[in-house]
Amino acid sequence: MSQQASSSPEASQMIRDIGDINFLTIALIVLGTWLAIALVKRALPWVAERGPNRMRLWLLGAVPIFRLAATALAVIWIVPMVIKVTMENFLVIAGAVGVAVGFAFKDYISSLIAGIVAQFETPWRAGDWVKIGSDYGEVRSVGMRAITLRTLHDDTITVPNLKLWDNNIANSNDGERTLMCVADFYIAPPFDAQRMRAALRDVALTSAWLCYEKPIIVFVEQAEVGTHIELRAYPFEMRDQGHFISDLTVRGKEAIQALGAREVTAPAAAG
Amino acid sequence: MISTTPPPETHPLVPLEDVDVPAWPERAALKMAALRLRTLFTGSNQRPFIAEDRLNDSVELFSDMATPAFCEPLLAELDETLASWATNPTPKQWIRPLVLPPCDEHDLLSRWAQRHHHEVLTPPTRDDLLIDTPEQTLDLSGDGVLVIPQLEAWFLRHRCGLGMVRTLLTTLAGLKRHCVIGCNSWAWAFLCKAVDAHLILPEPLTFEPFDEPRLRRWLADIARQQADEGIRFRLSRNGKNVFALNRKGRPREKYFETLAARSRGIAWVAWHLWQRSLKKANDDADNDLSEDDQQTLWVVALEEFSLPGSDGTQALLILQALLIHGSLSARELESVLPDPGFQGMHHALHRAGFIGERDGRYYCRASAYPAIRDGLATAGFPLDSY
Repeated sequence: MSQQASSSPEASQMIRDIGDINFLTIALIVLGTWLAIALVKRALPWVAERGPNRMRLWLLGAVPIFRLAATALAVIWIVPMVIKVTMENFLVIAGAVGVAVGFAFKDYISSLIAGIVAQFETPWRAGDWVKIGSDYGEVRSVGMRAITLRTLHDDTITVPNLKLWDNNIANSNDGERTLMCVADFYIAPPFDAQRMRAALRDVALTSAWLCYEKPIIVFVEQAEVGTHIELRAYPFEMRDQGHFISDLTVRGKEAIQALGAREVTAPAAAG
Repeated sequence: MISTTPPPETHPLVPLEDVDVPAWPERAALKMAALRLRTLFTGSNQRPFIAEDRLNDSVELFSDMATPAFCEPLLAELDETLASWATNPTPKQWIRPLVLPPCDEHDLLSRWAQRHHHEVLTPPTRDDLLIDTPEQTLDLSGDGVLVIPQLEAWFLRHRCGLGMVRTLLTTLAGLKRHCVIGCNSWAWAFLCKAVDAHLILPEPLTFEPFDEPRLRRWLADIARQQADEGIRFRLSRNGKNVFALNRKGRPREKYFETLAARSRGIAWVAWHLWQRSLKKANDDADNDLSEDDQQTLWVVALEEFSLPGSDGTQALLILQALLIHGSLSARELESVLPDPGFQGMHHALHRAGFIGERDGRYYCRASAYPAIRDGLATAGFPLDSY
């Protein structure tokens, strides 16, 4: 590259003389940026885990923003140290980079760009519970190329940002501290539907995990296997969704039995 | 030196919505933030919930807590608010809901009712609350003032435990009789969600939070009444008199401002914290008997303790349940908690001083309430509005 640059007058004007480039400063900037990003990447999630619940989403969300800002700052700082910044030089570099990227790193760059777009569109944030394709989990970290999810089964899944372009993304809480949880029941008719709704509503109202500020909905519809009842409510902390749904399900079953109704399953109904 | 502090004034009760909890003094707030950061970085899980020296060593000077004198200012405030209403034959509102701060170990409203010979409605047993009888009725007819001291005794946070309180509130909604309903602030927050208590009952009143001047006057008055003559209260940090005022009549020390903020303006929480902060030196020389024959009680600094926010879920669920219900037996506690496996935790909480036990029933101790509330708030639990 330096040989080519020295053989071309345009390129020789574009790249600064080797002697003028302070490689030590550049190395320090790169090292400092990397250290700062690494520190923030570790420290903020650590603090978020231990600090007040209400601060967790803010702290987790600050990591990718800091990384983006630090990277941009480092690039803006380094580029004038290497290149004589003019409009012509910018266009030449942009064209060269575009061709290289188009052939060699198309998917990688697409993921990077998707990562930057995601910072502004925010289809997910760190701490959100999202479903991308068939994967559902909490966004643990948002990287430039990929995000990592932790599922309810404690698996860690890495999802490239590329998925942003062609996948439906379901965000269960969208930046809020809670999300709707649903406990499903299928009951064989006949039963007293009004009393059943009231009983299941009380099941949710008396759950220790309940968020007081959100509504409780008992949704009833007729399905082929029986009467489908969805008990929809919100826990005060979305990480407790597994506990909350279990609690609603266990106590909901008790309520159904207490009212003399009978739950059905698909094979039984089919038989 | 206590005599320089003027006696307390009575304040009428205020609407719950207007409650303004005392703020932290800047220096104490900074110290608390620094301590919390230190706790965060040093790992709080290794520490006991509350330091043992804080729990085991307190001066038994004001041990006669059961006397009405302790509640006197609060009873006077109830009188000031309710006296004219209780004698009005056609009041604008027949029902007077009072939201009381949590950890009321002295059953203040029952005391008030007994003092005025008002009829007190006895709550059902907790076992009765779980019997599912849809056609329950209550007869609240009669003359005079009816007092329901603890609305939290009328429900259990169980899928079958809301029927009785619904019946009670429905009956109260149409009642044309003077009725005072007391409810602790945690139970009130729950009942507003569970049975729309705020829609059925009129706007509740509550005590005006005890801010620094009020708290200082009140504690000075209790000290004057109950302590031996000639006792001085000096801060262990700098030896200065904790009740001393400057020339402008303002307190020289920030102790009571910090105490007001830490106790969230709750009188009995402040009293318990105050009692725990009083120490007597072991060595007679340190008791300073030489100067005017006065005995010295040392007031140690109020330290900040907090519950673990993320790993103490079991403990927090127990504490939340106790705050909502006032007190629960071990069996009742099990019925209102979501998961099995809580058998051992309430013993640990009892040992650590967070909860007390009386007649087989557990309750949150007033002295631990600030730490409990902080722990619940940090973990994101729904809170009361006091």
